[in-house]
Amino acid sequence: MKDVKRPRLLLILVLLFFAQAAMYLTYFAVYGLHTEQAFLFIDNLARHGLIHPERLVAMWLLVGTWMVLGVASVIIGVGLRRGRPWAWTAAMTLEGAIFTLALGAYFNRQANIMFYVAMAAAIAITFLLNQREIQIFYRANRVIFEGQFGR
Amino acid sequence: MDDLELLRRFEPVVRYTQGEHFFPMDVDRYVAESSLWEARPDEPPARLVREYELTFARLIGPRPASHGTVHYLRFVESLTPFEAAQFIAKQRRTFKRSRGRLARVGLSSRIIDALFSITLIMRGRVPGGTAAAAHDAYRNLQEKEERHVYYGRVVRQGGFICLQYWFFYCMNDWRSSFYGVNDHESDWEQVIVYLTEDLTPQWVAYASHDFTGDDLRRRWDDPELTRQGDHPVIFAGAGSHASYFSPGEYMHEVALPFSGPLTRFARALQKFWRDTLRQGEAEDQVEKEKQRASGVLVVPFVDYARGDGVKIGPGGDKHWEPRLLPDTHDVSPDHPQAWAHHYRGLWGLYARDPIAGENAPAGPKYNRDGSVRRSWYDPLGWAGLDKVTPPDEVMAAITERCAAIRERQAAAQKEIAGKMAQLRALGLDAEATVSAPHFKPHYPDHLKKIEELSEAIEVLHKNVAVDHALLEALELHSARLQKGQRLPARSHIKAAHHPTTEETEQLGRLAEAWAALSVGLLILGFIVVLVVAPRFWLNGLVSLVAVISFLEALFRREAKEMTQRVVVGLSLVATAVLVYEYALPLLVIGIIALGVFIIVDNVRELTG
Repeated sequence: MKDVKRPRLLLILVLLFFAQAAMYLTYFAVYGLHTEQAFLFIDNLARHGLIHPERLVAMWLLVGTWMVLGVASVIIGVGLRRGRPWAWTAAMTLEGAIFTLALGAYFNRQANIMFYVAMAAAIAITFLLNQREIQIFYRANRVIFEGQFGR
Repeated sequence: MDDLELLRRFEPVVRYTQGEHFFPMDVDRYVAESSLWEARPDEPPARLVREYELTFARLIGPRPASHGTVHYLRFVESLTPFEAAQFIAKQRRTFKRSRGRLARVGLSSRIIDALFSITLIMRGRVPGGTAAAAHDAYRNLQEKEERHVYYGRVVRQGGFICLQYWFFYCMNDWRSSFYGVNDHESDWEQVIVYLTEDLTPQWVAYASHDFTGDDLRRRWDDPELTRQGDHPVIFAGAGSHASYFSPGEYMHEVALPFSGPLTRFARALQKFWRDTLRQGEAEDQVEKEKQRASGVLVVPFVDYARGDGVKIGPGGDKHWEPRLLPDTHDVSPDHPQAWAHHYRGLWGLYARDPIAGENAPAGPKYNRDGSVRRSWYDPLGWAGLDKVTPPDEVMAAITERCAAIRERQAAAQKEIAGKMAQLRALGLDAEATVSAPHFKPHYPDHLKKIEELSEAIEVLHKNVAVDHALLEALELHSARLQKGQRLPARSHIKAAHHPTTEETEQLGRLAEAWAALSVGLLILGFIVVLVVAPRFWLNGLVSLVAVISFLEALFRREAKEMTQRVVVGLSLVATAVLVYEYALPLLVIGIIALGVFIIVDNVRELTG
């Protein structure tokens, strides 16, 4: 089996990923709690026809998205830490989803500081994921894992 | 052994692709059937000699004309579209194209291909129906008397004997018959076999599209070179007649006119991205990418050199009739091939194509502009062999080289000793005058002289050291050669041309259909968006490109690479957004980071 050296940047990548996970879970917690309280108020307004029920749905969707992104970041972060080849692909896809969400919000003039922070974290992570050494590490690991367990 | 015997002994075998229409012929019958024309700048072309009246004597006669005038032959008058269609319908089409060129490349190349087609309309081009007319005329000539001719010459240069073989075709129908880049009346192709004085073949060089210098040649023992005894085998491109060392289908790229600056800018950007930021794919993929695209605005074409058709030469279906070209200095007009020296014009239609792809070529000696071809006056240099010592002379050359280096080293050592004595004398002067106030005006000059001399000695020492390493390398090389070990046969090749892989050729008809439809669908889809929802034209265009690109990636089994590229692209957009929104804070953060870096660096130096 080919011995693959762990790139030094891998530690930073994994730390950034866990930081990203923590950020989304915090967003989820803060938004979730806030929404829980707001829900009754907004629901009340909606019942009286003072607010459109779609706003409420959008709010819950956003909260759900934060949660999904947070949980996915934790799982992928663990995969990256263990050098699993699927984690690199999953990480790239996740960052793609984050960019789509954040840029979509920006171009629809809905972005706030949370989106900008999400963008900054995703840029740093994408830069590291796209580093040649990191790619070689996960590609080599794919060969090893496929050798051990088959495709 | 005379020149003709030498040429015959190593004459190539040429293997064509099934469906090839034109084979090497003699120029005698071609010239007899052609008319001679003159095109002066800004004037309509004038016919000087009618067809069936042109003789070699008239062809090579002096023809003074103003600068910019082009003389050319015209072999056939093009058929009308109806006649050409009738002619083609009667032919039994034996050429089977494989997966189309467009299916082998990405969406962007296909969009550029559409642009290339537009430039072809605007540029001068060989009229449609010319290839069919030439095919008909060539077939009639061959039916009367079948001849397969090559023209050869033997040049002795720099310890090598260069056997130069020229093949003349009455038409290049690559574009009209094989989906290639260009058509032109007449075609001259060449290969050279290089022998040492003892008649041992060492190298062969095949003319092939954009390749020059070292990349043109293969060593005689290179496994890529197919041989039949002493005869190298050429795989000729269908219609283009370009020569290849192994059979297959070759991707060939043509840059759009005037795309040079954009390509250079893109390459510089790519270099920064890959080498400085260490971004992008792993090395093998980078290599793949480099092989795939050499420019930004390039159009892909396939050159089919399958070698599954007619085979001409020793052991083949047809045999060669060799003709000797005159020696370099034999400019007698009485030589049967005196036209090689004396006719500087084009051998077919001058289509007035500014980038020359559709203009006929000039003869074996001349370029289209009338200058002499390098392969004619310097066959060694043409294939990068001017720097290569013939194997039978190499040991003596190494000994001579080592002696010269030793001599140079001895001279340098002597010079160093002399300069050292001068330097020490100057050093003593400096020591003596440093505490003498009246020497103040002279002292800086003194120090400057010391510095200059010291630098000169350093350079000499460096040269001696380099020469020492060079001597070691030469002695090692000599020892290897004595043991019969040569350098790898392919060590000189910088960019080898490989046929496309089987995997690429077999991506299926669905991919091919998609390749043919995608650009059209993109344009139609965009028009629908413009009509239905003009406010969202940008979103519509982006979505269309995204969907089409994703489908494309699925066809190519490159969905992962596609995802990576898209995410990296989105990260660049996001970076631009952050820079736009937070330019000042980012600048402040940058300055703070710089300050922190300097402090950390200095503190480390203090504590270290």
